This record gives sequence, structure tokens and C-alpha cells, in this order.
Amino acid sequence: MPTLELRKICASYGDNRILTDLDLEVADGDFVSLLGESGCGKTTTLRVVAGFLRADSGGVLLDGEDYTRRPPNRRGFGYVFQSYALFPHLNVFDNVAFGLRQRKVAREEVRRRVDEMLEVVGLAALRDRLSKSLSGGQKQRVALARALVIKPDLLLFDEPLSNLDAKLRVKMRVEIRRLQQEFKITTLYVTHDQEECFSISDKVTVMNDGVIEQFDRPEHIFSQPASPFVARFVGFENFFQLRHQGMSDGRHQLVAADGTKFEAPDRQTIPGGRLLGAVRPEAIALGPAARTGQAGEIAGSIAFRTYLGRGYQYIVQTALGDLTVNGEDQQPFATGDTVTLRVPPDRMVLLGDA
Amino acid sequence: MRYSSVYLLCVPALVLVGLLLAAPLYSTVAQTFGGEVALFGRYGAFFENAFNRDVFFRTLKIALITTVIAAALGYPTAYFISQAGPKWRSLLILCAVLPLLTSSVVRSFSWIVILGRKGSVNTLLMKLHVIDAPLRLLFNEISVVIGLTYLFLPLMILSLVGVMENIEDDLMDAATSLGAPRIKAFFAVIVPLSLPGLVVGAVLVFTGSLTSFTTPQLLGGDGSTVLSTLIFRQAMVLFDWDGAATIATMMVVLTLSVITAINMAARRLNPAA
Ligand SMILES: Nc1ncnc2c1ncn2[C@@H]1O[C@H](COP(=O)(O)OP(=O)(O)OP(=O)(O)O)[C@@H](O)[C@H]1O
Ligand SMILES: [Mg+2]
Repeated sequence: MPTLELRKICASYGDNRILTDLDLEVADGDFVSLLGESGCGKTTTLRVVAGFLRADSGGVLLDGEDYTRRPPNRRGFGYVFQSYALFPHLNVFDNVAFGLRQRKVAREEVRRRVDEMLEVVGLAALRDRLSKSLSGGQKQRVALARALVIKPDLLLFDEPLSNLDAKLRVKMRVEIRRLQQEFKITTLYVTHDQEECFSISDKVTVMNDGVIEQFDRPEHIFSQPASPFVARFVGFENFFQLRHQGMSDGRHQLVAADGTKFEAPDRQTIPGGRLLGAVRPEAIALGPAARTGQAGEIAGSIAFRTYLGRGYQYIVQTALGDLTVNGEDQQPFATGDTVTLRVPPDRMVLLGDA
Repeated sequence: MRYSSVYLLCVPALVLVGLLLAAPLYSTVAQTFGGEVALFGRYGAFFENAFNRDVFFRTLKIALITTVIAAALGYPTAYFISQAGPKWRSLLILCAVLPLLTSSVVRSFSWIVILGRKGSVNTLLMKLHVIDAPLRLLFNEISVVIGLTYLFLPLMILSLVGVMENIEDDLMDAATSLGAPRIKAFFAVIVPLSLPGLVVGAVLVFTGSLTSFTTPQLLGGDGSTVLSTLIFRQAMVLFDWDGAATIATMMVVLTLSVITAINMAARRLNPAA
């Protein structure tokens, strides 16, 4: 199975530059997701890989072979569209058989392979139905079967589950992952759903406005975001400007603009330039006003409270700005209460502030 | 207002259609069976005449050729328009329908200027020494077909663009990613899916060409009489109203049968349409 490499891809629609110097590598048999907000260029990236869109510059390589100028019909990639893009005038069988027929596969073998694939995706009973009479989930399976049956070198997915209801989404993503592992196909998967992306990917690429912010294992992206953008994207809501004041007790010593001291574990490397500390709402401990003088203590008062179902979320006014904090159910604080927040050293992530 | 009374709103239109379409149609058809002749006697008499037979088949031939040419010219044009950006698309559609805004008399006359002995085509070919003597381009079947094609091409383009615009862009990409070269993908995807537009266009062009009067009257010669000009002659020159009604009835039947045939062919080609 092959490795996909994108080298310094620039792509645009007309004068509108969408991708800038995009580098990406999808290793042999890996499942890599492109995660990013709407309009950041995920589909554009896939279209460049598939050959539907010609890059302005840069290269697309598969196993070292240059695919940049190769037309899509000679790439042998499977593409699953967000809209499914089933041929409405063909039935399920003919939709799935389309790619094999283009490859001049013998009639008997087309029959055998298509039926086999329909069995795999659980659509054998619908093989003669017109594709436009199928439900969303069934269409999705046909699209998947149609892409898989040609034994693609690379499988490309563009938000394949976004038109399905929540339950079916979870079921289908497990199925996609199972098939991908069963056929060992190198896969590039586009989504803007974090949970979906983290649950099925070997590696995740977080994209912002046509550039890649971070490329890493899902666990790392979640716990060690590399930029403020990624941090915000994966649920860090509190950010403070910090200055580094050296090490002590094996911890980074940091201080905020108002003099509040913080500590962070030394396993984190300190980015150059201005520093930003990022903390999740659920990482901050919330208690009644009581100062002990330890690092990571912030005084504040509750400005706003919302009920989350499991606990409360508070907006707390502090000298460092408004912070978002999640609290337990038992003794909810009321608006106006003065409180003390504690940021545990190992829950703060240090980022370079662009 | 009770729901059923909504139907009352249709009454004026129904009265109008009844008075202006159904009634005259009925009296026309009835006239061909009236008088002292056998049941289909007037039709038999029409076809016994060799000149009439020629006119009948010529009319059919001209309408069919015009339809085929309009489809052949309109298809790529319509695809091009449907693929253009939204701004260009409106401009191109405007250009396509512009001829529809002038009267068909004026448009037919312009072809007399272009195709005449000293018209632009002959002048150009003479200047280029392609020919020595002017070609006879006018007042024959060719000039009628040219005039009709020009007249009805916009209808073909419009009905095709309407359908092609609604074909999902992803389908072409899907077909190519599955291994079909663009041209094959076009025939496997765009052609079958645009068939409904082709059917509507073909019906419009065919019925239009079959029944058009001005163009064959102005651009056709004595040797290219068609059914509509024949009706005119029967009614206005020979005052044979029964004969004119017979031809008119045949044209109605002819039009309906060809529309049915085109529809059936299309359904066979594409069961989903
Ligand atoms: N055919 C096109 N012509 C012009 N601009 C386009 C075209 N397709 C996309 N764009 C623009 O390119 C940018 C990136 O689009 P793209 O489709 O790659 O976003 P995306 O990340 O896939 O978003 P989404 O999650 O909404 O699908 C957007 O600003 C969009 O407006
Ligand atoms: Mg997209």
C-alpha cells in the first residue's frame, strides 16, 4: 500500500488563493483526517489530491511517483462525496459496477465482485433499486461500495457522514474504519466533526485558512495543541498572556500581566516570543474565596452561570479577564459570589502567541 | 372560501381555451368527414395525388432534419453555457434568446440577404475563388432548413441548459475518478441525464418546424412547398376549405404521433427520466 505526499501545494479558484504551501504525508495504510472549520480548504485539498483541481504549484506524489499532472481517471483513487454523487439514472448494481466497467473487467467478474461488495456493505437486497430511491444511509453505503470495489490505491472521503442522523453517523464511522482496516487502504478523510475525526483516525491534520496548523496523533492534538487556533478548536477556552521566569522545582515559572504566578510541567518546550497559557474549562478547580499564595491561584467573582446538564458552567470575572470554568453540581455558586480559581500545573498548555 | 371554489378560478381560462382551441379544432376535424364522401375519402384523395405525397414527406423530412441539426448544434452549446460561471451564463443565455425577440418575418428576410445570388455567402466564396458562379442557396429546401434551424435553435438550447444546469457537478468528477476519461464520462452521465431536456427541445423544434408558415413561405421556392404553405394555397387561393381542413387535421395527428414516438424512445433509453 502506498504513501501519499503533498509538497508545497498552492491552489486557488480564480484569483482567490485557497491553499498556501500545504505539506502533508499520509503513510502507507494510515487513516488520516483533515479537520477544520467550514471554508478552510478541506474539500479543495481533496480535489487537488483526486486531480479534479489543478494545483497552481507544488506536487502530489504517490509512493514517490509524480501524480501532479495525471488526470483523475488514471489515478485509481476512490472518492466518496459529501453529496454521495450516485448516478441517479443507474441502479445500485450499475453504480457500483461503473468503475469496473471502465477498467474493462470481464462481465462475470464484474458481477461477482459487485455482488461481493454489496454483501460487504449490506446492500445485497437492494441491488436492483434505482439509486435515487434510497435513503441517505443506503446511498452512503453505495458510494462506499462504489469507491471500494475498484480496489483504490487511495481512498478519499469528503464529509461522508454529514448528511446522516447522529446515530447512523456513529454506526457508519465504525463501519468505514472497519472496511479501511480490512482492505488496508491508505485513507484521507475530511470532516469538521471533532469527535468523528478523533475516533477513527490514526493521525489528524488541523487546518486553518488553507494552512496546516498541526499534524499529529488524535491524543496529542487533544492534550498538546500546537497553536492557539488548534487549542480553541479542541476545547481550550481560557488563554492568558504569560512571561517566562525560569525554572524552579523542575517546573516552568510563569507570570501574568497582573502578577499572578503560574507553573507548568517542564516536559513542555517553551516556544520563543510571546507566551500564551491555555486551559480547558473543566481543568480549573473552583472554590470559595480563600488565598493560600500558591501558584495558579486567581481571585474572581461569578458573572454568569449556565446549566450544562452535568454540572454548571460559570463565567468568572478576574483580573486576567473573563474565564470559563466548569463546576460540580453539589454546591452551585450564585452570580456575584467571590471565588478562587486554581489552575493545576499539569493542566496548562504553553503556546506561542502569534 | 371553500377549497373547491378555488377551481372556479380556472373557469375563465377554460372558457377561453374551449372557445379558441377546442371548438375550432372540432369543427376542422368534423369538416374533413362531412359531405358526400367516404369515411376517410378526403385523406385517400390527398394521398392519391403525387404532388401532395411529396409535400407531405418533404414537410416531415424538413422538420426532422431541422430537429437533428438543432440538437447537434444545441447540445455542445448548451453544455458550454451550463458549465460557464453564473455571470457568463446569464450573458450567454441572453445571447441565445436574443433572436427570439425579433419577428420571424424579419429573421427570415435577413437570410434572403445572406443567401441570395449577391448575398454575403456567395460574395465571400467568389472573392476567395472557391466558386466561379454564385451558388443557388435560396428558395429551396436547404434555405428552409437553415431558416428554421436559426429560428428554433434557441428553444433547443434553452430547454437543454435548463436540464443540464441541474445535473450535479460532482457526477462528472465521480465518473472520472472511477476511471472514465472526460469524454466517456460525458456520454455515460451528462447525455442520459439531459435526455429530458433533449426531448422537450426536440418536440418544440419539431412541432415548430412542422407547422411554421412564414419561413417556408419566404425562403422556400415552388419546389419546396410544405403542408402549411399548401394549406394556405388550398384555403386562400383555391378556396377548397375541406381540403385545407384535411391537411390541418393531418398535421395535428402527425405532430402528436411524433411527440409520442420521441417520448417513447426517450423512456426506453433512460427508464429513470
Ligand atoms: N468552485 C469554487 N469556485 C470558487 N470558490 C470556491 C469554489 N469552491 C470552493 N470555493 C471557496 O474556497 C474556499 C474553500 O472551500 P472548500 O470547499 O475547500 O472548504 P471546506 O473546508 O471543504 O468547507 P466545508 O466544511 O464547508 O465543506 C471557500 O472560501 C469557498 O468559498
Ligand atoms: Mg467541503
